Amino acid sequence: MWYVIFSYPFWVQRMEAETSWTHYPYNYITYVPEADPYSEPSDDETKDQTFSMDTLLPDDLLERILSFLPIASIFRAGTVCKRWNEIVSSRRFLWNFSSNNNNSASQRPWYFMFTTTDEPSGYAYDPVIKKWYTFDLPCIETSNWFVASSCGLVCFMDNDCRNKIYVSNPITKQWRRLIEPPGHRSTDYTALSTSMNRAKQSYSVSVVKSKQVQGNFFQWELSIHLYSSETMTWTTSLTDVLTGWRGGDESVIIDNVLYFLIYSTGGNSDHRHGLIASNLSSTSSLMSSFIPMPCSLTCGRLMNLKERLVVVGGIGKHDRPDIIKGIGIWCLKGGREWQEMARMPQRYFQGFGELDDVFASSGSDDVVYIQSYGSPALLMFDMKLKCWKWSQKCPVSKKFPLQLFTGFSFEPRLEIAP
Amino acid sequence: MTKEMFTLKSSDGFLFVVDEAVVHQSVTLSPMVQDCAGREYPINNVTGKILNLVVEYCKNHVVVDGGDSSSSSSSGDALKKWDDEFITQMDLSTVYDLIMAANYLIIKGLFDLACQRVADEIAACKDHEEIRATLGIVSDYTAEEEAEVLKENEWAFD
Repeated sequence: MWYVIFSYPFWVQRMEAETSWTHYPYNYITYVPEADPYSEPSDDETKDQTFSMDTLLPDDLLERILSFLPIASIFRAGTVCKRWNEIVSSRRFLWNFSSNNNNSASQRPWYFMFTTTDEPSGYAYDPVIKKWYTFDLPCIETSNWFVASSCGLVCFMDNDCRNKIYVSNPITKQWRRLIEPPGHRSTDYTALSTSMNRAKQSYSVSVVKSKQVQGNFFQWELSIHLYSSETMTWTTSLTDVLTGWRGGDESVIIDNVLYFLIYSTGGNSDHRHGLIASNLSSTSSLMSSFIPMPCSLTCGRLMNLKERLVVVGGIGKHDRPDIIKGIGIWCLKGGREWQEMARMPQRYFQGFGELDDVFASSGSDDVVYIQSYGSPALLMFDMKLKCWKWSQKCPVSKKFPLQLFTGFSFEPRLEIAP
Repeated sequence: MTKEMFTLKSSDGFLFVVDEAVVHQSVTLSPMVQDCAGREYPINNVTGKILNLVVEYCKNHVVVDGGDSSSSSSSGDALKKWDDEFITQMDLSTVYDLIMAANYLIIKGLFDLACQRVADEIAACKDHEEIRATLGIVSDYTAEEEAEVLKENEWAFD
């Protein structure tokens, strides 16, 4: 395309597809060309004042600059002046911010760590700038609530009656309470998970309830309940009875399949854990989708890493399978086979001090976080670079010997609302 | 084949003679390659001081972009280092001019580099007052409005 040139200031017609490289069109017509390039600043202009960006840059360029900021700075930017606040609050900015940073490191999940067990406050870690922020969570009351997260949404469920379920964006603090799920009010075990469909701007929440059949130690009744934000209702997708196995509190939804861990109730002592991969659109029996774990685990934590099922598991000692001797990371390939991605090197394993057979672990994107319940030390594993790294030390301190620490990871997204 | 040279003229009359590879880095200027060889091409929105920096950036990026991929990782590092030094030594008002020039000429790498520089400057400020002072912005919040918006975003000011 040829542009005709004149020697006085001109406007140039642009075809968006050819010439603009951002996802919104640059309207160059807003630019005011320099009126008189030969003018000298007059003496009564305050030359010592910092050049004011305010008057110089048009909104779209300012918006582009602000989109390079780390998340906390976005919030600080909103307090500078009304113009900046409008820009960083606009839907266009929030959505562009996320897609700008999609391929860069900035979307790496944060980790929230509770400082005490009975308050929703703690510290949130941004691994990109390696900084801990004092952080309060919306909705949740104590640290023993169930937590599940997906794509910027974090779902909380209380641990008493298990009927208070909230979906929130912990960064923007927006939240919504869901209606109570169906099924038994009092369950023995419950697993919570959530899954966000970005394309449809909708999410689902699943609750797997396990209740021991009365009078029978080996039989457990399991029910799966699904909430859809589109219909704002729950459906009970499946009920089944397991023999020799029970459900627990680990589950994750990936691509319309609900994966959850089941635990041996004594019948099969070879493996203490198993995996059920229940397709949410089918009603076949649960055991028909049973997948054995890669080895005998002391505990397993499930997570969705870029639409792959990953389990972080404590590896038990050969003669004492309930005592942890290492930690491994496996990925489910082809829906049926485990591939070992990493084994925690001894020096990191020892770095936790005394590691219980159960520990906290969560992650998303390419990052796995592992935390011992006994200390605020936080370890990260990068699945892409295959490297282990301690996080910056969390400012929380151990106040008494038996203090427990726990946390969870979540993606910091500004544009997602429950 | 001799290299074709093009003459760019800044708004204040400075002339810059550059080769085709430099011109092609600007999406705006790229089409002139067909018609403008040997003639002056006026860039009325950019002063000589800024156009000089633009040309310097483009010249440096030609060498590596056109190079072979086997040396790309070390030359990529060297280029990044050059970029960092290039943009850091400028004062902010020059960076703003560079942003607008790169926007007009549509030179993505330079545009992103300059925007990132300003963003880094903002990110380094620990609060809104420091941002205002650094960038010379006057707030239009009333005291109450400011207190309210600060309270909503308390955590970000750690």
